[in-house]
Amino acid sequence: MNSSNVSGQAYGFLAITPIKPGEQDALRATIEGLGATRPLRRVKRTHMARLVIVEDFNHKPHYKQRREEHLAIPMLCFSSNFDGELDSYLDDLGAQLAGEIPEIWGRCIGGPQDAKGLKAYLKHNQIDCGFFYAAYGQATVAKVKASLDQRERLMAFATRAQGMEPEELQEAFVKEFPS
Amino acid sequence: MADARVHIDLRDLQGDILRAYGNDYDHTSYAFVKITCPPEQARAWFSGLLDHVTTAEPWKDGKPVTTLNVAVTAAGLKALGVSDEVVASFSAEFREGMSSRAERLGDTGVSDPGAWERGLGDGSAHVLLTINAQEAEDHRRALGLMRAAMDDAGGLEIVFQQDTALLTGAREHFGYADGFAQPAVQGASDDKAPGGGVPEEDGRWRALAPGEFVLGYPDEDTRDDPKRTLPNAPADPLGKSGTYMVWRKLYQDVALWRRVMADAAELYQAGDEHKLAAKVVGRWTDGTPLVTHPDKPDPDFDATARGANDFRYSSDSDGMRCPLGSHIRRSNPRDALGFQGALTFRHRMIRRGMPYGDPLPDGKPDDRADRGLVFVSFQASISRQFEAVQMQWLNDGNIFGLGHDKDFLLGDPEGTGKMTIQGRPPFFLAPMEAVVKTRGGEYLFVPGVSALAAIADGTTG
Amino acid sequence: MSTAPSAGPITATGTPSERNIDGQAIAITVFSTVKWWGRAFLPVLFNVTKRTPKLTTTIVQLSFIHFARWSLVTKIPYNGAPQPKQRLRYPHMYFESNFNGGWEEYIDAFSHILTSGMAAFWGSSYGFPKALPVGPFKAYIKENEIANSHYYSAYPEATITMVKAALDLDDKLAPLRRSAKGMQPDAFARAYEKMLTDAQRSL
Ligand code: HEM
Repeated sequence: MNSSNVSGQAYGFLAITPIKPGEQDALRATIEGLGATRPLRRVKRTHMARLVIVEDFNHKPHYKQRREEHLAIPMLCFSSNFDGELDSYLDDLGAQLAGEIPEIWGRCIGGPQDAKGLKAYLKHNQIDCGFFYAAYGQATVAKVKASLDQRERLMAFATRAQGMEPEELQEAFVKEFPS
Repeated sequence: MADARVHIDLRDLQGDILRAYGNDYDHTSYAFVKITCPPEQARAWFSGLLDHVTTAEPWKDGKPVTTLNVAVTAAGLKALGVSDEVVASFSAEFREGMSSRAERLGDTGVSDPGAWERGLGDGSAHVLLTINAQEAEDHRRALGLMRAAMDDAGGLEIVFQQDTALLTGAREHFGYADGFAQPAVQGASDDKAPGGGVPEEDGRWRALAPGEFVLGYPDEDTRDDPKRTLPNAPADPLGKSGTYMVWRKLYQDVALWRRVMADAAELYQAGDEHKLAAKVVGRWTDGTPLVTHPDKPDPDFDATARGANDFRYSSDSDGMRCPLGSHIRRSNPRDALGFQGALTFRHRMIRRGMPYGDPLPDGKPDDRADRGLVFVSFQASISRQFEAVQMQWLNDGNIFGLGHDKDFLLGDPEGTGKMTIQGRPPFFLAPMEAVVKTRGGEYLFVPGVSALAAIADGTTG
Repeated sequence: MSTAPSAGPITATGTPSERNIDGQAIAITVFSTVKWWGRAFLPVLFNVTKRTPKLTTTIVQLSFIHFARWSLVTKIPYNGAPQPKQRLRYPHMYFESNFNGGWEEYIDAFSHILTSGMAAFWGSSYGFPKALPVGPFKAYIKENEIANSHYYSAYPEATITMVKAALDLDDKLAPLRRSAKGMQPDAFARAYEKMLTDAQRSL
């Protein structure tokens, strides 16, 4: 494993896969439609992830690049920032996205049609990080979400509890924040 | 005292922008005019106004009894015959208008433009005439002259007019002294730099480049540019000496405010309502800053004195004296966000607001009268200055580490948001209904004097 | 009269696409072509940055990035026909950031505060202007950014500062949660007050 992909317990994954000729529009329509169903919700270790289609490298005359370089074939980028190690994450990704796999990576050259082939395929096409920054790389998704919720509850509680007598305060606190 | 390196052409600039007319002018009226006649006819009327426009030139023979200033909306530019191409050179937010930016400004719920007063935000306001007067008598006369000129010209209609008058002691309706903390501008108010400029290292302050507030001059991005490029501005000749103006009618629910503060104070430091009120704004009601006087106001505080505004927040980084979410710390965080003010120095505005409506006497029950603040600000970029402050600093707390808390002084049309008052222990103000509601507003452009003439002559290119 | 590049409104991403946004979180994805010397220089820079936490303190303090990543693409993995085999003449840099909505209001500050950092990470990319003045830099980001097709965040309404505050609060609240039940009421009230006092920056 390349340690550059890790910050704390967070892992930064990127795979770039070539899109089958003629499939690009259908692929784009599929992933643009994911906003409605948000299937990555089911892959609970995912903090943030994206799917991007790259058609070519960028050039402008004023960049003064001596020879232009073009991408030979449009590519799909899948990037995810998630908890823990890669293998089990990709297993989970495959299992949770079984329905979507043929529509997404199935439209890429050599891509899998089912959950089984996904892990090997994405690993083969992985691009290692150079530098990975994570603001709170030690905290898992579950921890982040529980803490955010707890903060909201404590703010509401602290406002409501002003002026309570000690007994009442303690009772209310224990009820709201059990150990 | 002016910085000699920067020369601002005061004859070309309208008055009350860089330097306030001052509190001698008790009465101000804002009249929004709709042009229903063809552009040539409207321009004839417009050109008749020009002789009466008050410029920024220092007054030689004392203060005039009345003043007149002119601003236009994007629709107004078109109605005066300015070409679409030239109008397109103005900023996007100005062209879109305040009401179409309602979502981002937080003008939702009770502040939704659908509920605004007729004539504001619906495209019918074209020209804003602002009239100031020292005496009620002069005020009436000036308004009479304005109307007579409009009647003579024909095809003009006042779609909205707001008359305002100062309250005793330059207070706003919640009872705070208001309107004195202003940015220091290079070449105009360099002496106000301590407390009004950009906080630099070693306790020094630097006055802001004039281009932050007047178009056609270097701003904070270009001030040191060896190529002397100027910031973006509308196409010549309109870009020179002009500025953008934000005009908002903000209703203040004084009875609700007093009730909320009185109820909350029962739980705060033995009922110290006066201090609680100071914590919400960051100044005592007489204007004394909490950073310098955390325990009680300074009886000798003079808001207009040199250095009255000279303080920083770094000595109070935990907000124990001046709460992190107080109104003045939000609306101008000075050095509070670190990085030598780099996160704040491009988000300043000149304020020229006026209270409207009669005060609600202390102890009187709610009379449901219309009262509040006409908020006016001048800036080179409405989106970078006014909108950024409104959205990111007043309507959100993230940059201050306060989550999605909003400015408690303004409340929230959605009725959520608490305020943390730092202390040992901290105190929490519970979420409340909106105490301030937007009743209407417009984004305007205040042309320079030569630009006004070009509009009148139809020579704007 | 004005010759400066547009300082007009820019959306945080340059492309006003809803697909780059999930609640408060905004995605930016940029590919830039790297000059020959970047092939050796960037890996060294990445390594030094990794080993020297001090270099990222500004980003930590600015508190607007959840996750950010720089990767050097020197080879494109081959998956068989019909994928053309491609040998890259230049390295290309992939950059992604997951950051707070609202940052757009501070985009000017970005250039001022991170001037040298930006020059280090993008200085070897073709077309990179200096970080200052702001105008050309904004234009460069706009030109190079690729619109997302799908973006997902597990907690879209939270900003980085909120996440960090919530985690910090959890550390301070946990001991009281554990001991609250068995305490004397007065002792509890004091401990509760102390907890609020200690944790108030997170509230
Ligand atoms: C009814 C609504 C409002 C009331 C009652 C109000 C009241 C006040 C008061 C009492 C002060 C302190 C006195 C002073 O510095 O002049 C102040 C300062 C200020 N307010 Fe407001 N304000 C209101 C709305 C707004 C809005 C909507 C904005 C901006 C979008 C704003 C921006 C500012 C700024 C920039 C300062 C100066 C802070 C400094 O430089 O230290 N205010 N306001």
